[in-house]
Formats: sequence, structure tokens, C-alpha cells
Amino acid sequence: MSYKIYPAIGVARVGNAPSKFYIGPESYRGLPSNPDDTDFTEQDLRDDQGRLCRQAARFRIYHIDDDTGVETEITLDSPNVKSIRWVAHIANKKASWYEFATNEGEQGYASNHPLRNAGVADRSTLIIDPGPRVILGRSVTGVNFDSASVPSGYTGANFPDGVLNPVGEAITTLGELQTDAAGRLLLLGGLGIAGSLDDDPAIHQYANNDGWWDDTADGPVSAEIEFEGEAELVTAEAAWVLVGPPSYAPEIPNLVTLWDTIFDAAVRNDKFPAIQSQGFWKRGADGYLPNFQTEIQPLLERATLYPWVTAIPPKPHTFDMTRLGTLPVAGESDENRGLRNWILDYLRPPSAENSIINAKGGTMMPYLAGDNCLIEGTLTSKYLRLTDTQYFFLQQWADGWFVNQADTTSAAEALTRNVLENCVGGAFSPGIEMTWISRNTSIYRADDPFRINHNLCLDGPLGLGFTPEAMEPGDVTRYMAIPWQADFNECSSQPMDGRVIWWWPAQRPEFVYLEPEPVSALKAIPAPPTIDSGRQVAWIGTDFDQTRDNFIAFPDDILMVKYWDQLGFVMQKLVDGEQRFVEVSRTLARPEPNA
Amino acid sequence: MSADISLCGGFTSAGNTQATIEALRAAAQLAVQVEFTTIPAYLTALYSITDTASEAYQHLRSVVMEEMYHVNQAANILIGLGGVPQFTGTATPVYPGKLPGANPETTPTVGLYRASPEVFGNVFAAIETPAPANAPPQGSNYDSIAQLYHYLWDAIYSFDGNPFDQGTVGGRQREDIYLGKFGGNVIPVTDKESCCRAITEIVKQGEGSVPLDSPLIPIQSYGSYNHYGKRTDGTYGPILGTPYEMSHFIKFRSIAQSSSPFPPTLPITSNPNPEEFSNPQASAQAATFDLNYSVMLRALEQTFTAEAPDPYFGVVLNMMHRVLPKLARALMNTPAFSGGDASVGPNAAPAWRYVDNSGFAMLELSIAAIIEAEAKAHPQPNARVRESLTVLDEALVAVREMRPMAEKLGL
Repeated sequence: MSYKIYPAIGVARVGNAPSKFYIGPESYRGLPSNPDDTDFTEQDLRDDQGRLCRQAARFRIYHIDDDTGVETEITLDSPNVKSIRWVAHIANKKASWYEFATNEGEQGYASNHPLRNAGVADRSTLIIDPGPRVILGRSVTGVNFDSASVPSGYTGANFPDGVLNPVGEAITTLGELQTDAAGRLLLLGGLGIAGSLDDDPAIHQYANNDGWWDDTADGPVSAEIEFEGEAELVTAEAAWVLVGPPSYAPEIPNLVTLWDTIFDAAVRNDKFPAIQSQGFWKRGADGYLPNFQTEIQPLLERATLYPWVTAIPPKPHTFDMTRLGTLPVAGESDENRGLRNWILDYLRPPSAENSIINAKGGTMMPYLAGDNCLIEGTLTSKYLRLTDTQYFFLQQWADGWFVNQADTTSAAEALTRNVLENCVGGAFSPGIEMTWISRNTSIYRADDPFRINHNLCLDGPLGLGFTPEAMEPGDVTRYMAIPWQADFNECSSQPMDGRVIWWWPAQRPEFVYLEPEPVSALKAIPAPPTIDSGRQVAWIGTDFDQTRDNFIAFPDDILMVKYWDQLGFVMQKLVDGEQRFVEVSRTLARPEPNA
Repeated sequence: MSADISLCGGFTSAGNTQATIEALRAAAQLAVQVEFTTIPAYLTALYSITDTASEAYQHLRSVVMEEMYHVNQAANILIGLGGVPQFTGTATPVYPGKLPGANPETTPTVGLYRASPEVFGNVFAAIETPAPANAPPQGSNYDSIAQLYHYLWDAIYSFDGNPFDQGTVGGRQREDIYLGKFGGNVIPVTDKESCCRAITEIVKQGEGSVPLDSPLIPIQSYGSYNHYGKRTDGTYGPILGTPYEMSHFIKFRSIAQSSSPFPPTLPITSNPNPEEFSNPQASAQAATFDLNYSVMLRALEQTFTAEAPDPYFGVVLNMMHRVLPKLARALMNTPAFSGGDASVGPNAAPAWRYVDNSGFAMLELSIAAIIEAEAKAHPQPNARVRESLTVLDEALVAVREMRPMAEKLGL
């Protein structure tokens, strides 16, 4: 009998609305949900003052029967459950860690790798740590990760000391715990405050800015269940929470999701011997047969969705799914093999990370920047590619060795998968929610490749080192850009080899479609289409000159620190009789203010 | 939106051409053949360029792909008129020669040439030359391809009734075989309006428009960023609509007149005659190439034929993609004459000939035989030979995979 918290990794996102929030999507490319279960609409992205709502991570406990595998969710409504005591501890260790320099450090840092804020001797003062928090009961609110409610006896609590510029606010909290009516945990992150104590702050770099703070965080989430008539508490296997930037296009997934990346690391670490064992991929008819519906079709669909958030031609990203999912009949003709091979041949294969054109002259896909296109060296990987596992699945599919059947993932496992499939799995430069540390299999439990080894650090203080067997609060997001807004603004487009390559359009839109202006009755005469009908516009900045400093970005990263909360979201809507993805809920003027 | 179809493709139609449905079909078949004739010529030059990332290769490749779109779209027009497109036998182009039905005095000789700026300028750009303003429609002896389409459109526009309303049809119009990022969307042709759209896109994509700065096709049915290319900000990236720089004519001219060096090419012999090859490997590989080409053409005809099983995604695409380019590259790396040096040349090249007695069994044997002969002739193969052997092996694997299915389809 085991009890586990799901998702194994949950994702909360910052917002500047102090109270109104929504719960992060729990289905793949799903919309968030409202705490009161009303239908989620674009009005729910902001509060009544136009402030951007936070996304809460919801955690549930499942009981898994070891014999039958049957999963049952355990809540305060379950029979015999007397109480559920949640403990979470999140922190921000960005300022105390090494500088982020693409993939340097993934295999361990070199002795000459620079630290952030290298001049600060007491490194503990560079950590934002509110200490752990406990919550139990139904519909409880107000358990804050703030400086005012540090648990007594906890040592090492720390917050940046004073008002941060340019926003004129102080970071006094990293978030909040709540429970819902059934006692599930809701974890909310920070208010999106970023800044420096410097009177005239400047952002000089996309990832490392000494003196800067932001209020993203991460850490372990644990739970103990008390059953009626039993003295001993049952501990559920702990989960992890990541607090990241907002998700501005929640229904549009990345080609390589965070789930794909963590799964691939586990596959290559012998955790899924049906797919790969002792370094050998299980190829051919007797090997692993990927499921078209869950392992192939989503990859093609992701490509189909990208044209809504960046300027890429839709035609080559349109696929005949019926044809592509048709199983070859054994011994009969395989009439779609040519098409499957044709698609595979356009995908950048492993070891071609630095090429854009293949031997036949085709432009290799994805047309996205890779982990390291910024620093010359042996670890250069200019262009993103599928994970080894994704590519292997596509190879098997192209060869005709696949199945086409409904998803059989269990509800609990699907929760982990769905939440992580809505996150970025590359390129990690550094990324959005989590960087290449996600590929380090030593941070995960040996028996569960998605569950991070945790140390709740209930008494403090937090450590300064890397302890993969006992990851502490803040140990996962400390690699990310500080402030996150710098990387988020700059990583829109990347000039490379005479082209401009896109970064993470599904997470950080680059070009968006607008809703047409409402047509008044008098204007309702159909006008002939013009070049301007339904054209894409830059999500931020301008799009007519790829060399301008405001090409699809703010000209200065500091403007992202000021205006991130006013940017538009991309949502699927019925427009002019057809389903489209359009920008909604933008409160920032277009064109944007420049100072 | 209902377009003014009397101005189709920029042509003014007087509406006074009287043609029978048979004449319309003949004109449409001619258009299919004209479009098709360009492809082996462009592909020969394409495969002779070794740097696939070079601008010359990329431009030429995009044009070849769009010519395949033209073939598909012109075939749909013919099928809509009740015909079935022919690619084999007398319909297979012969090189060197003129475009079918073209004015021999004013049009270039279309040949199989090693790529060079001169070939791009004097042959390819000349093929795609825009029609001068007020050029008359010409069903034969035309000076530009646009005039042929002008004639076709005039005849269709003037036809009494809907010429695409033919009771019995032997062909199958296709919208699904034109893949990839290149311009144009294949549409079914069922009436004069859809035919007008088809012709407009073919003509403007090929030759561009006169004057050059007038927009080509301001709107395509897909999104707004349809192409990547040189932008007005001087960078490479997404382009709104379909600007005139994307026309085949301008692409060829830009390579012909470019001041940057032309990419390296393989030293192939131009307008090859395999009978003259004294290197037996070259002759055998050339014959194998023609065998493959011929089977592919038969399969292509079948894809456009109603009721016939559809070999497109199983056979034709595979042959175009996984066999033909590999056989061509291996051939171009083989000296045409005994004792030759492949890096000096002259090397062999495909002749693109149609042979009647072609089938998959023979193709497989033939590729296996040339691999064996090549290995035997080079007991200590150098890098170039090893590369040839690798691609030939890949082609053999692909042919073996396809063979059971192809034979079921009678190929």
C-alpha cells in the first residue's frame, strides 16, 4: 500500500493580483480552472482591477494498491480520513548560485565558473527563504510564505532588505498555501516582483544580474494522513512545486515538453527497459511499439499549433492524421510509409544540433534555438532537436512499428504528465520553469523518475551546495535567469547563421493574431480582403525589422520587469465563425510605452 | 468573394476563342508536359551542386518543388476537363530540346546541365521569362509559358457552359501530394473560377508579373507568413504574402547575377548520352536510373487515374525522396569514361529516358548489380566510392521495402 502526492512536480506561476487566482491546467493543453469550478474564461486571467492572477499548483493524494494498481484519490471526504497535514517549503536561491552560462555546469561546474554576486561573502544572505509552512483542514487560506510568519525556531529565514527598484515594492512573500473544500493543497507563488536595491537599476544580461532579486521559487511538498482510530500517521510520497513565469498561451504546448525531457532522461537511464535497455534501443517489430495517439500524434499537433504564436508557414505544419495513424497491415502494402519517412527526414536527428540544412537541402525542424547557441565551444548545440526518445518513437513509427490505441495512462500518472507537458522541455538557455537540471537523473528517486529526492529542511538553515540525493527548497530554480523577466524578454528571437531563429513561441508568444474589431451594423457590408486582413502582429515590440532592438521584444529587459503583468494571453476562441487562437486580456497599450 | 475571372492571371480575355473540349484537354496536357519538362533539367543542375545550404541550391530546390506543384495543379485542370495526365511514352520529355510546343526561335534549349551562373541565367531564367505586356495568347509556338496559359484560359473562359462538368471522368484530382513549405496550395478544379485561381497562381509563381513591383498574390488561403526569404529589412526571415522576389524568374536571375561565388559542383557531363560512356559502371548506373525514373512515371500516372490503386504515398513519394536522388548522386560521382578520375570528370549524369520494360523486380536486381560491380571495381574504395556505396545501399533498402506493395499495384 502506498500513498503518493500528485502531480509529482506541480507548477505554480507568479501574478500580481493579491487574492484572485486560478488553478493550473491539469489536462494536456488545457485551460486553467477556477477555484469555484465555474467555466474558465478570458475574464479570469485578471482580477477586477486588471491585475494578472496567479496560477496555483493543486496537489492531491492518491492511494495506490500495490497488488492491483488501482488508484483512489484520498481527500478529507474519503472514509476514515481524519486529517491531512500538508507541509511545504519553498525558497529562491538564484542570487546565491553560479552564473548561468548555457550548458556549462550540466556535467558539474568548472573551478573557474563565476558565481552570481561574487562579492558577497555571506552567501546565505543571497537566499530568499521564508521557512516551511504547514496547513491542514478544509478551505483554509492565508498561510503565507512571508517574512512576518516565519515559524518559531526556524533558522536561516531571509528576505531582501528593502524596496526594490524600479518597481518600488519589496519582496515580502514567496507565496501562500490554501486548501480546497476537500482538503487538497493549493500552492500559490509570488507576486512577480523583481528588482534591485540599486537606486538606478539596469539589466545588463539575459540570465545573470548582480544585485537583482525575483520572487519565483521551488521546493518540496509533503503530506501526512491521519486515519480514524489509528495513532500512526501515514506519510505520502512527497512532490515538488516549481513557481515560474506566467503561461501566456496555456493551450499551446512546446514541441519538447518538460515531461518529454524528464522521461527521456529516465529512458536513457534504464528506467524503461521496454524502450531502451543497457544502452540499446528496442527497435523493430519486436521492439517498443509507440502509440500513435499518445506518442506520435501530439508531436505533429504541436507543430500544427506553432503558427498561431510565431511567424511560420502553416502549410508544411499541416498533417493528415488519419493517413499517418493508419497501421500497416502485416504482409500487406504499407501505403503511407513514404509519407511517414518524409516527415521523419525533416526532423533534426541526434548529432545534427548545429545544422539547419540537411543533406537533401531541406530545412531541419524544429526551427528553434538550441541549448547552447550563445557560447562557442565543445558543447555547442545551436538548434533544438527532439529528445532521443521522441526521435526513437518517430523512427519506429516511420518504419511501421507502432500501435494506434486510446491512452491507458492512469489518472494519477496522467496528472504529472499533463502538468509537465504544459511546460518547456528545451531549449535550456536557461528555459522557463526548469533548466537542464531536469535531465540529471541523480536528483530523482530511483523508484520514480519524476519524483525529486527531497529534504524539507524543517529547521533550517538551507545549504549552499548541490545535494542531489536530498534536494532542498530553491535547488531546482536557482539555475534560472535572475530576474526571469530578462531572459523572458530577450529570448524571443536569435540571429544565427544568417537567419533569425525562434526560442519558445509556445510559452513566450512572438507573433499573435488579434481579434477583429467588432463590426457595427452600418459597417457590415463585406469588405474585400486586404493584405492587412488577419495579419499577425508582434506580441511585444515591432516586427518589420529583425535587426531593431525592439524586434518582437522590449528594447530593454527592465521594461519586462515593469510590464510583464500587462501582456496579452493567447486563447482559443470562435472568431468570424472559425476556431482561432487570438490575443486576449492585454492591458498594455500597443505600441508599448518605451520608457 | 467572387473574382473577376475575365482578368484571370492578369490576362484580358476577349472571349472569342472557340475550342472543343478535346482541344481544351490537349492544351491542358500540353501545360502538364511543359511544367514537367522543366523538372529533370532543374534536378540535374540541383544534384550537381554539392553544397545543399548554398543559396543557388536552396533557390533551385524551391523552384523544383513549386514546379511539382504546377504539374499537380495543371493535372487537376486536365482531369477536371475529363482527361487523364500522361507522363510516360511520348509524353516523357527528351533532352536536349525545346519546351513542348514552344517557339524554337525565341525560347531556350532545355538541357541537362551541370549548374553554373550561366545555366541559371541563360536557360532557367529564360524558361521562366515573364510575358511582355500585351503578349498574345499562343496555344503553340509560344514565346513564354504565360502565353500558353493565356491561350488555355481564353479557351476555357470562352467555352459555352462549364467545361469542368464532364460526365465520365477517368482521372482523380489530387490535393494531398504537394508537401512541404514551398508556395502554392493545390486546389481541385471544378469550374471556371477555380481554374482561374489555379492558373493565376501557377503563372505568377513562375514568371512573376509585369511590372515586377506589382504584388503577386496578396493573400493565400493560409495565414499571412507563408514564406521565409530575404526581407525588406535586409535579413532572412518570415515574409508577408507572396512578394515578387519569390518568383522563379527572379530567383534564377538573382543567382545568375550574384557577385558571391557560385557553390562547388560535381564535374558531370552535360546532356549525357549513356551509349557513349565507356565506364561500364557509369552505363549500368545510368540504365538503373532510367529504370527507376520510368517505374516512377508509371506510378505517377496511376496516382492521377481514377479507380486505380493509389501508389503515391507508398511508392512515388518514396522513389522521389529516397531512391532517385541517391541514384543520381552516385551516378554523378562516377566517371563517364574508363580510367577517369571522379573528382576531375567528366562524370556521368542521368539521361532521364523512359524505358518501356520496367518493373520493381528488374529495378531491385539492377541496383544490387551496380553495388556489386562498384564494390568489385574498387577493392580499396576511397571516400567518394564509399559514399556512393552507402547511398546505393540506402536506395536498395528503400526499393526492397517498396517492392511487395509496388508489385501488388502492378508496378
